[in-house]
Amino acid sequence: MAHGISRGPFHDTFGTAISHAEVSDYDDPMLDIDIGPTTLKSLYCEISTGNDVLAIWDLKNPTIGSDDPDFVFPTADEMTILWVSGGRMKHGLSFTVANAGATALSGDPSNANTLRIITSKGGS
Amino acid sequence: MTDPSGGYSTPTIASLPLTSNLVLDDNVTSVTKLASAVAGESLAQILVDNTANSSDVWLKLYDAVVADVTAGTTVPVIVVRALAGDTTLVANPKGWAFSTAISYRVTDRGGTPGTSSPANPVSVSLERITFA
Repeated sequence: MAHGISRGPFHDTFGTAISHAEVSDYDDPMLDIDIGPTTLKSLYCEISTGNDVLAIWDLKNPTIGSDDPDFVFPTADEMTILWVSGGRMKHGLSFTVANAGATALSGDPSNANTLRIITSKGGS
Repeated sequence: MTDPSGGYSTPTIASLPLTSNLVLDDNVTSVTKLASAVAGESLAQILVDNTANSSDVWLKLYDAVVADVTAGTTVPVIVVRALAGDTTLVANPKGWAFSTAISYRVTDRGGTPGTSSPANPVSVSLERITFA
């Protein structure tokens, strides 16, 4: 399904490179927000409905339902996650939002969501 | 609180969220342990110290008591990876809410599967957050 995806590097007030992605009507999820090794520092997302999970892989183009996600968090209307340490991604960085199930990720989110993710990143 | 001179509101100490340590465990394996049997707890910070191992580990947190968790089958609510020889510390100022209870274990796979323990035990710290 086509998404309205916008992305592009810019800089925050600390001069740290940021990758940014915004997806509207997010109901068929898979988003590669970055490619190659990077270090995830923070993540902010807005999801219009709850009862979904946010899964994160240290992979480029993971296969939903078979690749085990490296991070899973329950979603909230608005959520900020800070990686004080341990956010180094060796292979890539991919996200999805799904209905339930940490590996099975059984199906699309409960409703079409507006997902906004901003990750600030350091070096590899 | 209303400032009698200016008429504006300032937060009181009692209205601020409080954090406290819920779990500080330096012997975490694939065996499920109970962090809290209290319903409605929220976690603001999760630390996984995997410096003792040469392979990655994944912490699984379940919204259930130990008796209701089947290793490798029960779907975890939260999964946090710690790279080999490294420590992961993630924080959420608004907290991750658990409705029933909090149980935890570590294993050698991400997502739902995984029943094997790492070669050496892992240290885990969980910080709860309480909102006034």
